[in-house]
Amino acid sequence: MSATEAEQQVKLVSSDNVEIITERKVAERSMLIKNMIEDLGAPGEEPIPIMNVSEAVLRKVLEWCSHHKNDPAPTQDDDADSRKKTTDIEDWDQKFMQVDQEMLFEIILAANYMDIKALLDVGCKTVANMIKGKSPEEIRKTFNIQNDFTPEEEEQIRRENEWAEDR
Amino acid sequence: MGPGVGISTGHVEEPLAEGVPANGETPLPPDTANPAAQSSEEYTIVQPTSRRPNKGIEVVDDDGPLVDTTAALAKNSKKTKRLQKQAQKRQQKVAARARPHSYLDLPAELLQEVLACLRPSDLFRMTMVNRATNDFINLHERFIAQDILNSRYWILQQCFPLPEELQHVDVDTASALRDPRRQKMTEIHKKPYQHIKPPDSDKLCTCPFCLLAWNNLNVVLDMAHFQSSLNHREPIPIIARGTNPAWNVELTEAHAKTVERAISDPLAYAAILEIHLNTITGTLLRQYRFPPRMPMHRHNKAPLGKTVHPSILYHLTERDAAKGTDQFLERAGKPSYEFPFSRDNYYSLLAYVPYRKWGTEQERWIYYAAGGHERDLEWIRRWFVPRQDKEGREEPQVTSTNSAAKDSEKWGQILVKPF
Repeated sequence: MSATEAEQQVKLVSSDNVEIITERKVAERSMLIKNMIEDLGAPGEEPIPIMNVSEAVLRKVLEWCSHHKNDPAPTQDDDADSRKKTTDIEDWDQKFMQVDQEMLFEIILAANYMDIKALLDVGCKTVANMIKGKSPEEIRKTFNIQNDFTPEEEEQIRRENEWAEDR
Repeated sequence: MGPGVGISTGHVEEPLAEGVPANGETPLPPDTANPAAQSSEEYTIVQPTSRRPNKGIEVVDDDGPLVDTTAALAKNSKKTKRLQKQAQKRQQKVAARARPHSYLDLPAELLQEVLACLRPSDLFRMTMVNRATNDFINLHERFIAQDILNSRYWILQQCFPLPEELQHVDVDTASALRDPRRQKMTEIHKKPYQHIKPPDSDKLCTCPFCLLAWNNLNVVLDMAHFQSSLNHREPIPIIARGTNPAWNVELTEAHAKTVERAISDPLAYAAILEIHLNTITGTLLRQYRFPPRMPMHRHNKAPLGKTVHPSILYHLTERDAAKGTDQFLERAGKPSYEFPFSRDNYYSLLAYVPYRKWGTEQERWIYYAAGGHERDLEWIRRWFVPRQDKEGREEPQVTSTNSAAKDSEKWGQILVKPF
């Protein structure tokens, strides 16, 4: 992509019919948009509908894309090799993900829909970090989940799995 | 307008006034006093025309492209307003329902991806959260565990293979494995160990490879059990020769049960590897004195003494240990050729990572466990599957008990040496 192409403006339309104009390079972090632009062949002229993403979420996703617009594109080997997956999250991404839970899950859904692998990874790791090292009761509290086990059932599962407790 | 139809417009005159010759001769000037006479009516004549214009007549098509400018009629009625309100409410409801409130509202493939970022112990804890989480983990356990094994325990899963179930071994080989003579030969792997319960030969394959795989996984759990004693510099209880106290029977049985579970439950297998990784990092970091400001590993909460080893095996750091992956084991280090045959070995064992050797030329570890089970079964078939003689009678492959005994001795060596 040439420099002029990268600076081109593209118009995205959110699910609630709000038009957002952004740089092509930023928008093309999403493989969905990248493929759409390639198929349409006239970026900037036709608005690109992002059917499943609301304005607030789309703006948030574009904020992430804007920060990571110069990141190298992941190779197919990186995607296939789960060994290269790191468990760390960059500081900026950690701060970016400090949002309420609903927004966090919506970002994950949007990243999946818009095919932004790196953002999806960050989202999944953030949720995983919210679970890591917590007791079942703490997990319930964090995600506002009702315990529907009887005390006997809970005790049975606990006994079955106590050997695997962190030691 | 269809082809062949022409439209022309013009005027038709009122009928002539009385006294006017109707022969078509010179018409009279129009009666200006009579307004009716002046009135005229517009008309349209539709007449057939030929498709082709006559030669010499130039036809100019002034019609532009047809544009549909029909706009929808604005509806304005009580019924329309009511319907619009209902539709709006429905849309709001759908939007509210679609918004995820918890990880359980995520699609299965995304929730699976989230869970694959966790450690096995976290997943076991999650099964206690509620029924939906428990069901999801049980249903997708195989895929989640595989993702975890590939991303966190890539090396350990190659060094600690699982023994095979006997039901996966063909009938002839299975009967050869249970041959009393052969079972006697395998006693070398059973009798001396106080810390390992022998495998059930009716359930599991007892080829040398599977026996060692069984022993390795059991010893890993046993070693982990005594880590707290080692962390607190307490001696491991000694069992008098020829005795087996109830606590030891209970402990080894529990470990054997866990390993049996791991054979069919990949998440349990991943959990065993997690436990062993914790043992390795705990052991290696236990012998290191940290600067006071550095975050302490959870195994080092007790005040630290002097540094026993100035350099740590695999150059393990606190950061490596906190990652919870076995990636640091890729670095150069000491190979583990010796099996910890007694609990006394735990005191000096830094990291037990069998089935690999350091390739000096390649400058990387070479793993050789793959295919071991098939190789050993082939060997057993050759020696213990009876073959038919010329008269159709079955005779065992091994006739000399001495050669079998020699092989028995050899096994003990093979099991601790690379293939």
